[in-house]
Amino acid sequence: MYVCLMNMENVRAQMRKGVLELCILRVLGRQEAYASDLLNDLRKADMLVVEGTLYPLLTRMKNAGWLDYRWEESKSGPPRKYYRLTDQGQGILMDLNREWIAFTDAVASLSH
Amino acid sequence: MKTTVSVHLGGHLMHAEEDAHRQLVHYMDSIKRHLDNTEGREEILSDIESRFAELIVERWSGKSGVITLKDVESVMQILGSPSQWAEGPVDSFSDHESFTGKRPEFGDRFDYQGEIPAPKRLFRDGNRRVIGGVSAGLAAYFGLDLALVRVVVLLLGLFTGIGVFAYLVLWVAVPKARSTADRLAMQGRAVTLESIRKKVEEEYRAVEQTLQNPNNHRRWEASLRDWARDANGIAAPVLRGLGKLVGFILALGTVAFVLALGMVLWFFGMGLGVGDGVLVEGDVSLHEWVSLFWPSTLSWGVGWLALVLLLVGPLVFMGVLAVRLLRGAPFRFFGHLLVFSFLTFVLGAVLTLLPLVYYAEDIEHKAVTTQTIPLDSTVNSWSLGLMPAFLDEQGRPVDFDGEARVIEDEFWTDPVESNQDSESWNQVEWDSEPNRWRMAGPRIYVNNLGIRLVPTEGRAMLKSNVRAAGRSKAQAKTRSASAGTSYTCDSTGRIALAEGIYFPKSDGFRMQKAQWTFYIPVGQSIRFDERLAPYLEETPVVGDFPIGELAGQRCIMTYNGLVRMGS
Repeated sequence: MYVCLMNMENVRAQMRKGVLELCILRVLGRQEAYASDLLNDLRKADMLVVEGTLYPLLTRMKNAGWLDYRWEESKSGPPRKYYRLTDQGQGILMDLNREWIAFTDAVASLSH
Repeated sequence: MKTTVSVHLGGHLMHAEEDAHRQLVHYMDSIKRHLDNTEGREEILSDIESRFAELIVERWSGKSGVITLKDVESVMQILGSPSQWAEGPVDSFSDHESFTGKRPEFGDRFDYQGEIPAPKRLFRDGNRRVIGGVSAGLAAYFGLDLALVRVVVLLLGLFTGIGVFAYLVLWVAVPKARSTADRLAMQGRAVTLESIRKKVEEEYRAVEQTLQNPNNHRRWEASLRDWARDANGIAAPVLRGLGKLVGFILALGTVAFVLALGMVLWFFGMGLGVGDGVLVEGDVSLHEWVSLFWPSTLSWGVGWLALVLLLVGPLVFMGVLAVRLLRGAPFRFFGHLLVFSFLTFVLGAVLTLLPLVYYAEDIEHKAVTTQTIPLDSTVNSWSLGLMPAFLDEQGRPVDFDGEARVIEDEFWTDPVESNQDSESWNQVEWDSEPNRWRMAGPRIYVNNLGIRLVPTEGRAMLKSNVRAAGRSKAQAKTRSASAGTSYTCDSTGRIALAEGIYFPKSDGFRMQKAQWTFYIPVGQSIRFDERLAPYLEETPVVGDFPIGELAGQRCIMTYNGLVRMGS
């Protein structure tokens, strides 16, 4: 029983890993956001279990030029990063969306 | 009162309790390690720090305060451990550590991140051992706390004998976890390349930890280990010293042995007569003595080889032990030499049996040469004595007690009826006197003698049975024929028998014996000399006393045996 559950968790985690970047892009594609808002949205969609997963990804995407941020002052504490998609990021988002649809179609086609 | 530390968290200056701070540092370190080669590492770290601070503030719901351990732990839960993140190396050790802040204890049920659990196998744990690691192994196997198992084992051991016995049995029977694969199996983790890699990292980190924090393991474990080390520190040099002493003694012994050996061999080689009563009685050297018994069918080489092996074996054994003890450490081929010396000795002992076996063959068949000597019928009173075999310088008979003597001269034997065996007859001439063979060469005198006094209804008679043994009936007969004895008898009834039997040295001693039977007619008297007493056998005596008491006294032969005259 324990083994069963663990395997299911694993499967979900594996699936999430592939698609997290796309999720981040989609959220930011709607509007600019703080990291914490991003986290909330992803958590609500059950795409994120632990927050720490996000940070390395964000930095990598920023270094790749897909994201950008600016510092925003905050009343209760130090300045916070405010993320937005770059033009390149927009382009990537469109490509990834297309890829995602193709991917899910392919999986769906296997069982019929 | 817990001390507080001030800490910078992503730009915030905050205060944390000591244990909270330690945990925080732990966590950050594990993240740092996790992000070891990642690009933008510093930025990620600062992001996480900021987020950490944010979450802390959220927990406090606006109130300010000091960061407690609980705060840190709950934020850690939210942020997650590095191995749970999408990227970076998967590391279950730092995983657990960053969560709980302590080394994982075996038996903790936590997910080894994708590893398949495998059936646990019982091993002795060498890393957590005090004596043999039995308790540690059992704790791992049953998933129990080590301290608990130790207490149970101790109680069982102290209050029952079974505890000690069971511990000893397990110590011997349960194998020690030697390889990484073993240690994985001990924890119930499947052995794969990945798990082995992880385990090696875990163990490496554990060692790092121990080096950094020497107080990490339990107090009493540490003190016990120290005690054991101290005790060993005292005992070891004492034992080593003792070993050296024994080694020295052994070395001396070996030298003494070699010297003694040398002397014996020298004597042997020189063929020196190991004189009267020193080693061999009589004028027979050791070499001659052995050659008397050495079976002719067996090569002398076997004897020499056996001797060499019997001496070399223990010699090498002692020498090797001496070197080992003096050196204090084993040396190359130590074990091999020890085994070799032992086997050598055993081989020598086995070879020694060979001549015994061959000798037994050599005396398998027995034969006798009989000579009947009729005595003077006019005599009715006899005196029986011994002819001394040897006289000293003053002409007095020499005591021929248990001796063998070698005389180098010629002698005569009786005619032989059987085939001539080439061994004994290589120096033979036919003498002109009829029925006499002359043999030149050394002969051996042995006092193998037996005398019986027996009643008869016929006339007085002396019978000599010369017995001998051989490999075959024929050989036995030849030997008995070539062995000889002698007697004298005068008209007054005085008989003297030779105190021994002689035979050619080349025949070798093969149970040659001279047996005399003196047939005394009933009613006739006899007096025998005391010196005969040791050789008397099977002589019937009237009355319940040993025949020796009749020596020197005149007796009468009756139907039932000898009776003292006048009694």
